[in-house]
Parts: sequence; structure tokens; C-alpha cells
Amino acid sequence: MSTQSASVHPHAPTKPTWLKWLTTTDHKKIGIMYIFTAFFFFMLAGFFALLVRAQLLFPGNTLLTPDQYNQMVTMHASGMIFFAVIPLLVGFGNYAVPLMIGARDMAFPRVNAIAFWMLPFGALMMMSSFFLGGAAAGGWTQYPPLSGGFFSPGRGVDMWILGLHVVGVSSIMGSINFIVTILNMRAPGMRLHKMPLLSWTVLVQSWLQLIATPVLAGVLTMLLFDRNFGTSFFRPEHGGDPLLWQHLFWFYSHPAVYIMILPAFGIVSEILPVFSGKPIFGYLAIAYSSVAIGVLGFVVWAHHMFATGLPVSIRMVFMFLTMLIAVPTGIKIFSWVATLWGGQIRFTVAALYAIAFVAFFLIGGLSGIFLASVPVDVQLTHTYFVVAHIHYVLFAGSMLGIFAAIYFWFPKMFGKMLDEKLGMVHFWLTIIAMNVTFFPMHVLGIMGIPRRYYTYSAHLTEVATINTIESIGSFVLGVAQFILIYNVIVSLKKGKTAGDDPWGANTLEWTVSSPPPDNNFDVIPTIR
Amino acid sequence: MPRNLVAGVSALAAMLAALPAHAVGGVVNATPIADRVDGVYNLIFWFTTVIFIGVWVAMAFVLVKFRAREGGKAQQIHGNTALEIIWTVIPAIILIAIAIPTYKTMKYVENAPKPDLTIQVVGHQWFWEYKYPDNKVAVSNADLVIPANKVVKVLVSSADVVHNWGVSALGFSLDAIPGHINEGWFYVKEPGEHEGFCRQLCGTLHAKMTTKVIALPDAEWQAWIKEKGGVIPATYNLAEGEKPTEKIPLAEAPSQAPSVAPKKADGAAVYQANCASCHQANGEGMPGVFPPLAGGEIPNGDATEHIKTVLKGKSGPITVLGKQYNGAMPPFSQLSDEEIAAVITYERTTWGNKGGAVTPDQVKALR
Repeated sequence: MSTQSASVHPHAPTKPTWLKWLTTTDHKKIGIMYIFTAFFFFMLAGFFALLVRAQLLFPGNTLLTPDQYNQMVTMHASGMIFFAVIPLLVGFGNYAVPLMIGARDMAFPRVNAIAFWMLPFGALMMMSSFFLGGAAAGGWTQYPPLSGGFFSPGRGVDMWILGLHVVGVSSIMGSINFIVTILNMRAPGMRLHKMPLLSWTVLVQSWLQLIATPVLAGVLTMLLFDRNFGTSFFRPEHGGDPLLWQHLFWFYSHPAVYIMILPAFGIVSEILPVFSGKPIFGYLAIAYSSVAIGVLGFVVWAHHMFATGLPVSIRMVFMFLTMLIAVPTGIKIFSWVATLWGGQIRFTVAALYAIAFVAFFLIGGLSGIFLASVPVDVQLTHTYFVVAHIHYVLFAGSMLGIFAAIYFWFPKMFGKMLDEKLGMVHFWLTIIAMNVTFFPMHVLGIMGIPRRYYTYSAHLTEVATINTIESIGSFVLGVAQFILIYNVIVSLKKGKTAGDDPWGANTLEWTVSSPPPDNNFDVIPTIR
Repeated sequence: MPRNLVAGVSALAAMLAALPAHAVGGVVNATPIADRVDGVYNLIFWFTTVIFIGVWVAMAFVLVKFRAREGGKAQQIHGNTALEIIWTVIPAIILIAIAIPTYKTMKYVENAPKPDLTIQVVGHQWFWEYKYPDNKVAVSNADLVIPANKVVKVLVSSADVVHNWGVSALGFSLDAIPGHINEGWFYVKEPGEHEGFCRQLCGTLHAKMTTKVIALPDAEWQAWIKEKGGVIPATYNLAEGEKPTEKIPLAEAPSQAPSVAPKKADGAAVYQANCASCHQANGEGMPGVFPPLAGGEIPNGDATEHIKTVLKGKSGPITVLGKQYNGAMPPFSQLSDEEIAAVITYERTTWGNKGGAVTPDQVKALR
């Protein structure tokens, strides 16, 4: 069936495999490299989190010094957001989107390659600060004056800024590439309204990155100048205002949450129909609710600042806009349940992860309503409730979506099936440990216990109990991920052969061989 | 071991069961604001719980009923406009139902009644300073003592980085931002003690920036103020519209007490209030984090360097007794010349230090 594409260049010199990967401009290889690199940083940033949890295992622990603890908190979040979750999603977008829309590659293959290669170098720049006298310790939010030159005199914050600048440029290049690819390179007949939902979410995500990332770059540069060149954007003693940082930072960082969740919505919208044997329920509503979430995502940033003393009128506006986001999010949740309704559901590991995404991301969505309501938010912001909320969005949401994508597209990427039995063990351990780790954080938050405390007093006995339970859960969660790594290694060697379409799916990537030929399609398909 | 685990799990289950009441972990609602916030919280709790159960029951039903069967056929449904309109409109109505009481509570919190008492809360790395400007009293690195059944106006600010003064039981949480003064209020219904925390990451000892609010019966609170050398102004304790009949009925302290600073600066007390949270009561510092003062180069060397360090702060690498430190000490220029002179003298003459005394004039010259 499949023609040998190598015959196109019969005299091309053959490169060794490693050099092929290092010099590739093929979106599939780049996508796979994104995923493996980002998974490495997922494990590294996860290790930082386990150190945090180990420190909090019992009151008065001295495993980490207070400064080491603050560094771990900062680098866990920064690493997960910028080097794990976003690039994992970009990796799947890179791999799947050109195939799904019937394109031979991304619009700018070389830009794609340079955007990928900036990621590990940006990460290395930030992580190198551990060897330059200590990493940044002001939390991933880096509020000045704490992150300013006076209160953080080391090189940690500077390296943190420079590392983010590098991945920021990578993000901007990648998002332009996705937008151009999706708008211009779709196969004949694939109108926007016929495009797979993953492409819709990647399109919206790319617009968010393109608009928001330059603002982050600007505010990072301002902090870098405050620290090193005597400006005073954020230094109150020279007329600057620390709140300016918070506004500009959250103008990027709130959309960043949607950058990290929208493609996961897309992944789930691809996987649920396949394993229920039905078309997606309410295609257009799901597509345009992503657009609505993207647009609203830009006008809600100040809900991170309800306790900063903003005027009540401003807080009202931001509260209503924030609450509005619950409507398109609800549409998605209900549509996914309706997609399963009346189907013939096959419980593969990929399907289980997609179903678990709907079930547990729901908790993150609902806790967001508490945080939208100003007087309730003022009591819960800065507490463990926010930590619980963001982990139900980014772990129960983004990461479960990413796990679903790994089990779903692995056969297409490598032509081998992942072992389903090992996958089931990975799934159940992850789901149970995830809830043991993150659910009790809601309780701590409602008690008013602040986040980012390196230790807590033994006289708060409930706090001690909850922390111990959470820490044990987190250790299981960490260990469970090695089952996935083992599964990938074993299945690459001796997994069952996948065939073109092991799941009975009907998007375009399943019409070509597994793995697909270099140029994806010998003949570009026409969509009716 | 299993018994501990069972106890832990059942304790957690009990706390989860108590979630709707907000009364977890012994936190009580001590103010009308906390009561109202709780009301909104409960409303959202029940709405979200109903939605959560609804979705989970629907999913459980679907996953059991529609699992793949031999020869089964999936229904090819693309959508249902009526259903989609319903699940867009109903959440919107629920959000309005949440937004209205939320708005009322915001209005209540915003419209503070006439205060009986004003307190300034100032965040420092890593302790809280409480000033009672009307009473000419200030305490630092100590509990906040207030009268119960009084409207207390609170002005929150910071001397260095961003902090947050949060006391769950009072329904109070405001960021302390340098260059800003944030205003809030509370009315504690009955005497009692409540735990408070700094809730905004503020550096190394963030976790040590806990505080306690002690509400006393009014008479006991007035006695406490006087014991601290403060005054009770004539306007305190008057009903609305009532005018003071005497000049200063309750005040025994001299009428001229222009600043909140104690008249005779006690070096040991100033040290305890401002310096001990980092350099420790014994002047030994914290290994690797805060340099020691006992035997240190600065308290035994040039007085000018010592005064400058306290007035302007210090940031960046420094070697003390052969050990490297790389942190920051905020400036303490808010202290008076007398206080700074007293605390520096204390540091230079205690723990075996031989730096010698410093006068307020020396401090003034370097300010």
C-alpha cells in the first residue's frame, strides 16, 4: 500500500539516525522530540514537588532550608508550566495537527525546528541558576520587590528571566507557525467548520500565545532592568509600583492557564468520539466555546488581585467576566458527557484518561467559581485552596489529557501498541494518588492555611494530618510515572504491531501508515 | 501505625463533612463579615455540589449503560439544539444567583461603619508591627490586642516586600504592599484568640510570619493600652453624635505624646521587636541564612558602617566570621534616631561585643 518516499531522492546521502533527528525539520520528529524533552522536565519539576512534599511530611521538618524550599516551590511551578505542560501540548499539536488537516508539514519547518531547540536551552539557562549560587526563590509569580535586586541579590532571578525570554521567543515562533499552518495548509475541502477539534484548540491557543507572550517578555525585561540597570518600574522607594508587575504578569499568566488547558480540551474532544463510536456531540458549540474562553481569558486577569485593594467597581467587572467563563466551560463538559451517551464505550487506557479528565477537571472548574466570587476569593486567595484549584486544572485537566494523548497517539508515532495492562496500573495509581494529594488541599485552604510555607507549627494538628496524607499521595503519584516510562521502553522494543488504525478512528492521521511516511501523504486527500 | 492511619483518614473524612460549614480546623466566624462571606461560600458550595453530583451520576449511568457490547450499535447523534440551549442558559442563571448575594456582601464589606479604633498593620520581613495611632502605642513582633464589640479600622501596609495580613476567623485578608495603604475593618463579636498568617510569599522566613489576634473585653483592653504606656482618647467609647464632656477623661498619660515611639528607647526591647526574628535573641543568627551579631565584624568595628546598615539595609554577598552570606536586610529607617542609637548600642555591648555606644546625633548625621 504505502509507497517508498525515499525513492524521491535516490542519490541523497544517508545520515546516521542520530544526525537525522538532530537536523530534522519534520513536524513528526520535532513533535516527538518536544514530547520527550518536556516529559523529562515533567519528571524533574515533579521531583522538585516531591522535595516540597517531603519537607512538609511532618511539622518542623528540616530536610530543606527555608531558602531551598522556596527555590523548589519556584522551580517546580516554573518548570511545570514553561518546560513541561506547555511543550507537551505543543508537541502533540506539532505531531498531530498537520496530519489531521491533511498537510505535508508545518508552514515553516525550519522555524519549527529552531523553536523546538530553544526549549531545552531556555530550560538549561534557568536550571543553571542552581549552580550559580541558587535558583530564583520568589515563587513562579516573582512579585517585586521580593524579586528585585535588593531583596534577591543572587543571579537566580536574572537566569529565571533569561530562560523565560528564550522559551518566550520559541513560543511566539511556534504560535505563528501553527496559525499560518492551520489557516493556509488545510487539505482541499477541509473548511474551518470541518476541521478536527484539536486543530481548533491549537489555533486558539496559538493566538493566546502570540498576543500574551510579548507582554510577559516586556514585563520580564522591566524587572531585569530594575535589577541590573537602575530603572524603577517596580521599586516604590523610587516612585515605581509593585502592582504594575502584578497587572502585567497576570495579563500573560491568566491566558497562560488557557494555553495549558485548551489543547487538552481538544485532545479529549478527539478521543471520546473514537471510543464511544459516535461523532462528537455539538461540534460547533465546542469549537466556538474554545474561542469564547480564549477571548474572555484576556479580560479576567485582575481576579488574581482581589486582595490587593483594587477599587470595588473594578473587582465587580472582573468578577462578572470571570464567572462568564463558566458558561463555555460548562458547554464543553455537558457536550462530552452527551458524546458518551448512547455510545458503545470501549474502556482503553486512552479512553479512561479522557473520561477521568472530564470527571476531575470538573472539580477544578467548580472550585474556580468560589475564586470568582470576590468576598470568598479574598478569603481563599494565597491559601492552599488555590493550590488545589490549579492542580485540578493543570494535573486533573492538562496532564490527564496529555496521558490520554500519549496512550492514543503512541501507536501512530511508533507503529507499536503500548501495553494496556501496565497502562491500567498507571491509570488507577495516578487517579487515586492525584486525589489523595490534591483534594485535601481544599480543606487546608478553607482553614486559611497559606501556601508556600516551608513548615508549619505542630499545634495545628489537623494541618499536620492533612499534610502527611498529601505527601504520601504525592510519593505514590511520583512513583506511578515510572510505570509509564517502563511501558514506553518495553513497548518500543516488543509492543504489538499497531497497524494503520488500531482504534477505529477516522481523522486523517489514521489513514496513513504507522509511523506515517516522511511526507505524510503521497496524495493530499480531498475532504468531501 | 494502622491505628494512626485510621485516625488520620477519619479525621480527614470529618473535615470533608464539615466543608459546607467553613468551621473546619476549629476556625470560627468571629465577625459579621466572616458570617456573610460564609453565607456566599455556602451558596456556591451547594450549587457546585449539585452540579458535581449531577455530572457524576450522569457519567456513571452512561459508563455502565453504554459500555461496548457484542453486536451493539452506537447512536449517531450530532447534537441537540434545545438541550444545548438549556445547558447554556441554566449555568448562566446559577451564576446570576451567585453574583447577587456576592455583590451585596461586597457592598457590606466596602461600607465600613464609623470606627471606634484605628490600627495600622505594617508588614516587615519577617514580623508584624501593630500601631495604635490614637492611643500612642506600637507593638512589634507580638500579638495584636483589640477590644471585642468595637468597630476596628485597619490600615495595612508594608515596609519592604509584599505581604498579606490574613485572619480567617475575622474574614479578613488584605495585601500589604509597599507604597500602598489598604483599608479594611472588622468587628469582633466576643473575646477570644484567633490565628493569623502572612499569606503572600515574602522571602526566607515567610512561614514564621504568623500572628495572633487577641480580642479582650473593652475594660481589659483599655488596661492593656495603659500598661503599654498609651492613652485612651476622649472620643473613644462615645455613642454616635455624643460630644466629649471632659477634656481627657480616661487618659492618665501626659497629653503630649507626639509619636508612637516610646520616650526612652530601650535597646533590648527594640532589638526584640525588630531584629530578633532573623538574628535571634542570642545574636547568633541562623547558620547559612542570617549572619551572627555576636562576635561579628560590624558590631565590633566602625560605628558608621553599623548605623548605615540599620538605616539603609544591606543586600548582596557579605562575609561574617569567615562564612559567606548572600541575602538582604531591609532598611529600618522608620525607627527614630533614639531607637536606632539604643538598639545599635545594645548590639555593640552585648554577647561579648566591644563596639561601644552610639548616640542619636551620630544616627541623625547619617540619615
